[in-house]
Amino acid sequence: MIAVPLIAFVGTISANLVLQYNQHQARSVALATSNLTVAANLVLADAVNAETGVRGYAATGDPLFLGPYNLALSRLGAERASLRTAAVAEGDSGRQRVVNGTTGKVLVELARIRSVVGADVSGGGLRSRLGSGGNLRTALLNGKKTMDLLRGEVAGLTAGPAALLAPQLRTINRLETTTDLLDVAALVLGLLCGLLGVALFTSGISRRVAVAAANAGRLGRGQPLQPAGGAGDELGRLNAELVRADELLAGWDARKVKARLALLASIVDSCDDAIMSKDVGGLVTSWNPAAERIYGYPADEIIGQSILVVSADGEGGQNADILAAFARDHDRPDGTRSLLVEAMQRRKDGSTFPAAVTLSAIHDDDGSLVGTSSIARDVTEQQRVAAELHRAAADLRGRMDDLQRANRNLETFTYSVSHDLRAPLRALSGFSTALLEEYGGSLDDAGRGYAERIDAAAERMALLIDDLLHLSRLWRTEIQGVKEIDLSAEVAVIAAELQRSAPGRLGRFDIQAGVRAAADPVLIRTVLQNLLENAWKFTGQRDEALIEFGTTGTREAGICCFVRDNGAGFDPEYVGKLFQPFKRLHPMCEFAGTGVGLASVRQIVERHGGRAWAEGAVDKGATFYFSLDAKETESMSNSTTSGEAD
Amino acid sequence: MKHILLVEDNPDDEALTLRALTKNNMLNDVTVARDGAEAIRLLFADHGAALPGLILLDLSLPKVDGLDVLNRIRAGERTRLIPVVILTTSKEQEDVLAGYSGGANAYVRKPLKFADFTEAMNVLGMFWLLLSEPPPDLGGPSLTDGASTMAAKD
Repeated sequence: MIAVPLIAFVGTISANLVLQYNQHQARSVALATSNLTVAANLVLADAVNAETGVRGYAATGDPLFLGPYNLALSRLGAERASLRTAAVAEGDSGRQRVVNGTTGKVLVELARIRSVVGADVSGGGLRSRLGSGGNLRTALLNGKKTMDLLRGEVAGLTAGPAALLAPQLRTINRLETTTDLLDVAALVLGLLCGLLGVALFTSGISRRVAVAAANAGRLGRGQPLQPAGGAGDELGRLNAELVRADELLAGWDARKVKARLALLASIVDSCDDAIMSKDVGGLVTSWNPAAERIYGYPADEIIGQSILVVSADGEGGQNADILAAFARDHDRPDGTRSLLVEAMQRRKDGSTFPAAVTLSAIHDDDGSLVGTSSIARDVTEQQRVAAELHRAAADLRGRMDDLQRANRNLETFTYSVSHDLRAPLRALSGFSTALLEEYGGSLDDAGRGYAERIDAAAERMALLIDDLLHLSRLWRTEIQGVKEIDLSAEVAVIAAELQRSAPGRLGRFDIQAGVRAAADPVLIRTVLQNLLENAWKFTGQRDEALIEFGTTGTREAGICCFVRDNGAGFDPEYVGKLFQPFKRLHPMCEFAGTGVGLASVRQIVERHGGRAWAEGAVDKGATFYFSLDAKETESMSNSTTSGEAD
Repeated sequence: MKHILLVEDNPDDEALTLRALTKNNMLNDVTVARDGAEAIRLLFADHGAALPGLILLDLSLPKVDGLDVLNRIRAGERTRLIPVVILTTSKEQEDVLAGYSGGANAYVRKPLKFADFTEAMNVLGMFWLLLSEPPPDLGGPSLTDGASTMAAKD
């Protein structure tokens, strides 16, 4: 392929060389011709100079004119030699003869003129010399003739070569043009040859590099390598290395694949869910031990059968739409990869169960759908629990409704109690009083006593009703506005009030300072009021009542306070009844009260996340404890702690 | 002295109230309405009738509830300034709040003991009819004895 342009190139170069030679020859001839012309003209010019100088001398007798003559004559010898050489170089023998003859004649004539002129000048004036027509005149005429001859010769010499030079120059021009064309052709051809060569070289190398690159890629993807010529150069060695790496990797891969397969198999085998695979036609291709357990079919029995065998509601995850979606969505990043369906399944013994089935597509290396896998879980228990939860929730909602209804009823009831029960009591009290006032005189002592009892009973019942309402309000009241309260200060205020209410009594209050707790201010005041009133009431028979308030060393849930008295105490056997509403441990005649005070205390304390309890013995006084869970804020419990410290 | 309008449905309470007023020598000045509707009729139906100087209003009433009566009184052009004292058995916070919110001048829980009740009636009559400067008359003729006569008949 490269031979054709190469031969053309060499041919062009040879032709160029031949042309170059011819051109050189033509140039030599042209040069010689031009040299001859130049030399002839030089001879002519100096000959004219010499003759002119001699004539001047002859005319004037002034030797000044002899300067140019002498100079020209001295140069003419050399110029004549040059002319001869040029004529020889030109190679025209005829011309050589002319040159020799004419120039020789010129020299002789010039010498003669000089001698004649020299003699004449020394002999007399110019007129006489010219007029006499002597030797001088003849010499000058002969000189002129010779000069004319020389002029003619030189003109002939000059004209000849000029005519000769024209074709020579044309030849040179022609040769030059041809040579230029050949130069361009050679350049183009050379370039073409170079390019072709580079292309051929490159295509060979790049093909092998491409093979090596492809092999590297295949190695990365774990595909078999492509054979690539066993050349011993770098590329050959590179390929050999790739092959070696491939063999090495193959060994590793086999081990890894084996280990990975073993891992997957152990996962599948040990899974509690049934894991199965099917081909696109729905025929079972794999079946794990859990599937055997759940469905009752051994693997070797079910493999090859349709998955529909275990489906109790038709499709069994072989829905054409699903398969189509799987096949379609393989290349879509957001396409369907797997989906979860609830389906009824059938065991080998015919029984059915609900299952949650996750269906996933199985694709081969080319990305085409070859089947599906399903992971099925028996959700009987789940559904049962869910149903139970649902039932329980409904039940709870029902109970909530009942409770709300009951609460509303309770409100109506308490309002009714508050309003309507009191009215008859007021009548009892009012009319028994009217009876006493207006008919007291008609009654004996017993009659008046009965009327008084009616009045007292009515009053007591009114108290009971008020306490009952109070308690029911507590049950309904939400704790709000929990603040940090100085319990010691509250106790001191209540103690002062109690003392003021019974100025005759001797009582001592021992109050621990700085007891603080987080609580609802109104409610906690009720607690303290109830406990202190109780203590005050049950110490009524003591000469000196001693009532203490403080916190216990051991505390549970935030803070634990106590109110201790040296009063009547109680029988520990009945301690359980203390905090129940309307339960009393003492006869009415001894201590007044309705029995809701401690019930209120317990109610409030428990609302604060605390607890209330009591210790005591008959005639040994009583101690009532209550704890408050002051966990509302950290700072509160901290300050509580510091309060306890003193 | 202007008369008192007692709005009370319970006959026992009515009797006791009248007895207490009798003890305080104010019986001749009392008119009784036994339900809310009657109270409204007495106050609004007869434009010529004299308006009471004090209304003692029970809250739980048949037909028209005590609070509704109060609202009507406060909305009426002639009646809106009449002092109204709620006299009832309830001391539920909601009732107290509703009473004052409706524009009641005072809220008194009927004391259980008759002596206390009599005392309360005395104080109320003394304060609202004698001590307190009554609001200016907003039109209509001055009091007549007609209403008192009617109360006296009961």
